[in-house]
Amino acid sequence: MAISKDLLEILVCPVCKASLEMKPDESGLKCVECHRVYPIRDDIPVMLVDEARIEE
Amino acid sequence: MPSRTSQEQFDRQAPHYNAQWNAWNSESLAWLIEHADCRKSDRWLDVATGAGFTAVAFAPLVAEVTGLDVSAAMLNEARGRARAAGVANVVFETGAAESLPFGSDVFDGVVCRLAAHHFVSVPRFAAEAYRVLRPGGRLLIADTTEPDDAPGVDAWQNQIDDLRDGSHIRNYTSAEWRGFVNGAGFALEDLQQVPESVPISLRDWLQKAGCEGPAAAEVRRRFLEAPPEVVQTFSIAQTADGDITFQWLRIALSARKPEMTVLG
Repeated sequence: MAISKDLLEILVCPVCKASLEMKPDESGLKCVECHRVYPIRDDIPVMLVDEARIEE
Repeated sequence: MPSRTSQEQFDRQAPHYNAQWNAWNSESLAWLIEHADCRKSDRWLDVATGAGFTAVAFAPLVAEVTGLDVSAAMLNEARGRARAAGVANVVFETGAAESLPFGSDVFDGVVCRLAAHHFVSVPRFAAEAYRVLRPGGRLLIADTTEPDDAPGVDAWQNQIDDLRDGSHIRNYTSAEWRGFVNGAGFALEDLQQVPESVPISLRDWLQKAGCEGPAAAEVRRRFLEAPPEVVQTFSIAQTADGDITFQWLRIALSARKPEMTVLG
């Protein structure tokens, strides 16, 4: 089960509240502002700052 | 800071959040649903959904429920519960109450049941709930509470919770809750102490949090030596088999984000 389009529309970065883009391999959601990547584990987005890493 | 984070506590204890736990707290769930004014087109957010009892109960009443929790293990329980209930309109995400990963004005309602005593900052949670709610949207909260103007009872009960579960922060009084809700900009519509009619077994209650050994013995000692004011407030009683029962006080409140911001 993939992350639904509806859910992607309302999800934002918990830090800067900017929008997120699905990574091409669907392994995580990347903030368009701060470039933090939030992992997706077992189809559940992990929107915790401590679990994110910054990818340039 | 708490001695243990909620994420650590609930990743460990997820399997203990069973139907018995839900039965202990059924009055608060009934109160929240009654005051929610749900419409079939609504999108609701359940903050700190835990094992998903509240999210699954709201799902048939609305279009979609999003369940958020810091603990991935709890969300695993929640997803199993939703599946078993045949509920398809609940989605789960891992996230923190104080920094919600949602855009502004996207939910018709935010509910948070028996969890706010774990939040690092309730004012920050209230501000975030206000932000993600559409104007006119509703905030519903239920949690363990303390009597107003009884500092001895308040301190005793919060210390018990802290001994039992290192991720406990504080059970707040009605006065404190009024301050949080009004401070975030909500209009408070209803606030009640909802009595828990089912006495809780101390043995079961400790087991649910994985509290054992010296900490459990200390909690039991404090119950046995509780001052009369505490015994009366929480209906503390001993059972024939040597267990202890009690009834915590619960608060339930309903508030609304104003429709229009008045300028000037």
